[in-house]
Amino acid sequence: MRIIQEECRGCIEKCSVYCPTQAIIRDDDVATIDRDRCVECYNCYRMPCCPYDCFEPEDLAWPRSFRRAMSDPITVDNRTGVSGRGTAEMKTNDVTGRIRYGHFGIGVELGRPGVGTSMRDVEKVCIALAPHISFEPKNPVTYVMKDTKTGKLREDILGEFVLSAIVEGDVLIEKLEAVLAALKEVGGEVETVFSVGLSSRVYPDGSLVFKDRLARLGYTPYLCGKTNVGLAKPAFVEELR
Amino acid sequence: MTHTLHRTGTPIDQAADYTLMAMATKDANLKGSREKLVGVLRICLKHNPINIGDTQQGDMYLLGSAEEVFKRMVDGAIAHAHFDNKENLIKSLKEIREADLGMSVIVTGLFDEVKDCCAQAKLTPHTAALSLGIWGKTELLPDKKKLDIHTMCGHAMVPVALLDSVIAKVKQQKLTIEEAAVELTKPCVCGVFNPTRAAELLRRLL
Repeated sequence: MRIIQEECRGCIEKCSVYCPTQAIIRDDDVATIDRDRCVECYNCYRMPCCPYDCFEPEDLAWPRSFRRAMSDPITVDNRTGVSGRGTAEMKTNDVTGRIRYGHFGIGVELGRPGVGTSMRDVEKVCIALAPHISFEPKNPVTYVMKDTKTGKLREDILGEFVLSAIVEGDVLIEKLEAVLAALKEVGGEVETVFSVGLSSRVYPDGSLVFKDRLARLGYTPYLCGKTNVGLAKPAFVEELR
Repeated sequence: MTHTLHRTGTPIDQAADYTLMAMATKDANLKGSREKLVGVLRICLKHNPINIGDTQQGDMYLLGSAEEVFKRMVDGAIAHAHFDNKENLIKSLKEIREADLGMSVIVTGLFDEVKDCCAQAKLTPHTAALSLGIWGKTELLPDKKKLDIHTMCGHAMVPVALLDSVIAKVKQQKLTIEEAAVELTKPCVCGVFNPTRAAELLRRLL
């Protein structure tokens, strides 16, 4: 994103409040974009906050285009067909069968809520989880992984700063404790926050694969949750053994 | 895209906060999904949602109306309707089940309450997700009351700076609390931001 400075009248208080990373700053009498902080989320462009239409999108070359893919919820990842952060996670599990009985899905969203993250911090979490999880193949972070066994990301992406990025994978339930321990440790090493979500098939008695184990390990999930109500067709069929 | 999972807040506040989402899957049921997804939202529209939106186009507050959202939706849209009570959610779920549109439908809200809604709508939950909250450098977060508003847009399009700005305008009597809540709702393109709850939370912040 850029600001057409010849048109800007310097009323920065109108536009800067729409920037989630405080990247709209004053430069003499006009506004400008701090390109290191800007995550290309387009919120300033989409919202009618500039009376003089000074915001102008740029042609984003790789790897800067990755910022927009991970920050502007309107962008659709063509490989997954999903907007937002580019992955469907459990939301279409009634079609994909991504999360099976005896396993759980994990989604670690770096930078959320509202802090943003460097891709170097994303890599730290990937490396911490790599020994324990199978990274989800249809996920934008996995797409930029150099090696899914080590969790290392491509070097060209490491200098980028994004609003959030979801590290996602499939895990055998027996590895729950190890995964949470790894996350706890890496949580002390990153310069950002991350939100952790776990997903499970709902068993016939209404239970989730991880709930009792979480309680035994001393973790209390939020009361608010997300439920796929199983209406999609064609349905993925899995027998409970 | 766990955009509704990590909403913070008290159980009392969240008892008036339910998102219904519908989406298709690439290589499975995406082709021709536009009409089905609009169909889901038209059912919801009969039961007084407080917000409607499509992640790829915007919400009814930004675009002007639910009809404008429907008009712009395409195959693969990610459709949302937001409710501030269980009863309207249950009525919507019942009709969506009967319509048999074949889209994935996901509900976010107090987990046990959603379980009850599914039972009343004769639906069997397939998969569920729970949040283990926020980890890492949590000292970077705003205070709890502001976080409850900010996390209603999981994509962080409602910055804390905007929240501070509308609070200042309410104090200066340039906006009413309800108008301020609508200003906060507009940037959340998905339509999952709850203006009713935002107004209540703003009232407590002032």
